[in-house]
Amino acid sequence: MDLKFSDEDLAFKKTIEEFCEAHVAAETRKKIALGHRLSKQDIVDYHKVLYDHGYAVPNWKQEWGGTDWTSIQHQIFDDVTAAYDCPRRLAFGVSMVGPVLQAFGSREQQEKYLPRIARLDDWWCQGFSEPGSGSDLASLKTSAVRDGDEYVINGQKTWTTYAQHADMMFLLTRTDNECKPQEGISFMLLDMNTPGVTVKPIILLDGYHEVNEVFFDDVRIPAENLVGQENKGWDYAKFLLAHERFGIAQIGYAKNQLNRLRDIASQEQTEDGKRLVDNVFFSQKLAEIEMDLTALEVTNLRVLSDAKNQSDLTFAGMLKIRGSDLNQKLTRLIMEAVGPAAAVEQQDLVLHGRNEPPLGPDYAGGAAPSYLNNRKLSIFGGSNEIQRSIISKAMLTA
Amino acid sequence: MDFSLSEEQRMLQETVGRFVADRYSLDQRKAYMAQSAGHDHAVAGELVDLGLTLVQIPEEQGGLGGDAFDAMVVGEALGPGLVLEPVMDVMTAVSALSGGRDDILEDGNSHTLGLYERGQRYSLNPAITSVEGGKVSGTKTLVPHTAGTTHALVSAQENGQVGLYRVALSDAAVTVFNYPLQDGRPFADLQLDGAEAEKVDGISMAEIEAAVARMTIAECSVAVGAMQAALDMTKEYLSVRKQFGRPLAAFQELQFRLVDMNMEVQDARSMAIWAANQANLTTGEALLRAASMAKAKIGKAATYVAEDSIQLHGGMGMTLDYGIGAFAKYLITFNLLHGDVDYHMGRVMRLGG
Repeated sequence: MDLKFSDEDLAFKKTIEEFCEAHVAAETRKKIALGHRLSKQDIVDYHKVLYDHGYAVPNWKQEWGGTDWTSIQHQIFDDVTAAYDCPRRLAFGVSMVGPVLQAFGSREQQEKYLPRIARLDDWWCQGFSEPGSGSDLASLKTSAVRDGDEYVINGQKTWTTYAQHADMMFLLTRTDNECKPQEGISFMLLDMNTPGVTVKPIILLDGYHEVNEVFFDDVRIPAENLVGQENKGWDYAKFLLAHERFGIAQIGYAKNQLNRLRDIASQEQTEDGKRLVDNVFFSQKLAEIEMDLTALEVTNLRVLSDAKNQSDLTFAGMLKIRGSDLNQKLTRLIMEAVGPAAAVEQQDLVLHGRNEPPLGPDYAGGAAPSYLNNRKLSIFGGSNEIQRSIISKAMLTA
Repeated sequence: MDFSLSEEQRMLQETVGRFVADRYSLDQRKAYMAQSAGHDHAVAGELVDLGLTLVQIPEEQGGLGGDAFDAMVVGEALGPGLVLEPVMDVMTAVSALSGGRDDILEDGNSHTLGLYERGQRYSLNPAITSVEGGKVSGTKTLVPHTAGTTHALVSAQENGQVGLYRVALSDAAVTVFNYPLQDGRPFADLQLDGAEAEKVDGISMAEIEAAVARMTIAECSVAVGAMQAALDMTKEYLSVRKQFGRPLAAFQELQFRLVDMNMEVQDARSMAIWAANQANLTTGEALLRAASMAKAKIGKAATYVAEDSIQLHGGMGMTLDYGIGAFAKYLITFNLLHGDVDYHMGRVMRLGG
């Protein structure tokens, strides 16, 4: 056993640090540090910078612009970019539909879409969840009926992140009703500008327009937009979700949040004139969460270092549960550290970056919105209750 | 021992319950919040007309002569409405700090309270507001502010003594910065640049601390009412929402979660009853300690209920419009005002048993 990073890994880390320092927009990093929301342009600009440096699609096959990074190097990249308050890479193209197209798409689909995904020429969104099909995704009802060279799509998707920015959607549709639900689902690609597509915003607890409902009313898409085989979409979706698990514990993000928490707790003074970080209750919580984070970081590295662990569903679910729990606790502690100033709503500043003087310290405005927004971590991508069901099934049938 | 409500208390409960049902549906509340004042002036007037702000004022001063149990009954009934007006603040603290003056008590909602300062967290000690020659300067934060308010009672230092001063908000030396809280309630910061300050006689730090303790205990009952409403909504959602071909309520994991939430709510209610009793019986440090025990326990329960009711609603719980989020945001904000769990835990320990 040797828990040291190799010299190559350390050199890699340094390269990424220099990249963050020199090339990622300071304004964007500041927004992230304060818990303020990014504009579409901020996200696009960051992606272009990644692309220019060959970091846009590191998880892809090399023929499509990917890298030969090891799992540990992927983790280093995530850790360092998080530590430098860089945005998280937009997942829908790079981590979701991109790998699916490389594994199951036609050559034409690969050549048409992959370079555009890599450059973020197209912004993709994910059409999986439906109003009646959240945790029970296989019950989805949005139908696609073949009509000559086209499919005609009718139905509704929901919780579609950034559909308002999207040029393209990958979605699951029902193409067969006469079989087990999982066996009648297809994976399709859809141009969001097609007639019959309507996007309706859903505003989240923090006031942020992040997710949407998307309605399909006789939307006609070319039959060539089917990925792989008809009725095999469930397999591709499972492949996608397995791919998405990379980095699901969000260790880098958590580490950065812990540092931020320490900073705030060092600046805040309690009623007795002492620093909050020296308060007996608060310092205990800080110590506890540091231990939780340390254990989770090592679990994550154990998974990354061993292919056997990577295919073990008990580990995948654990990383999701523990990672979401930890990040939620951290944003709650940040809100508590900020204290009563966090009770003041400053949406103009946090959501829209308006330059009014902030009320209270500059870190106050983003604290409660980040806490509220992070409640989603234990709900989306398979709720923590669903994850526990998966883990128990894997444990008890092993 | 008798935990049942008196006839008068039942009437009070019904009156407030009817007001909430008629005037404070979540949709109505949203419409009030959208108004420029952040609440509805006419609805605030109705609250005053119901006499709620006078509950704890002695009968000889024109009040209802009620005690902390009466305040509790009103608070718990107001909770499901997430009422935007600072009813409990006025009912408990303003009346306790009026120094018996009728001009402060009449109108019911003419006076608000400026007791906190930026950067001082939960401290009631006025560190940056002071009075010299009858003029007050400094800033006050987290001031419950409604458009009908004409005056603020602000704490300040004068010659090394803490006192309470009456300031007219119309004074040119007073600047009001309005903002909503995370849960939508309209609050404000006050900047005082030598405003005319009229001292309220007989109020020192001890009276201020006691008044805030009484207000905190009353606010705990509002939280209990809001928690109960969040629990009821969650129970309803689990019964209606189906996944995997059956209602969510059929999944044992979720049943147990509902049970845990119910136990938190019942614990919180018991704590609020106990604290109201203490408010009737005790003063001084015993009162402060009782308020801290209640606020720490109920603040913790409020966070639990807020987080788990969102979780059990799944994606719907994340939306601004669905409703459970409004309760969750109130409960989270409740914990951030008048001392959070850690602050009150510290005071419970410091003041001994």
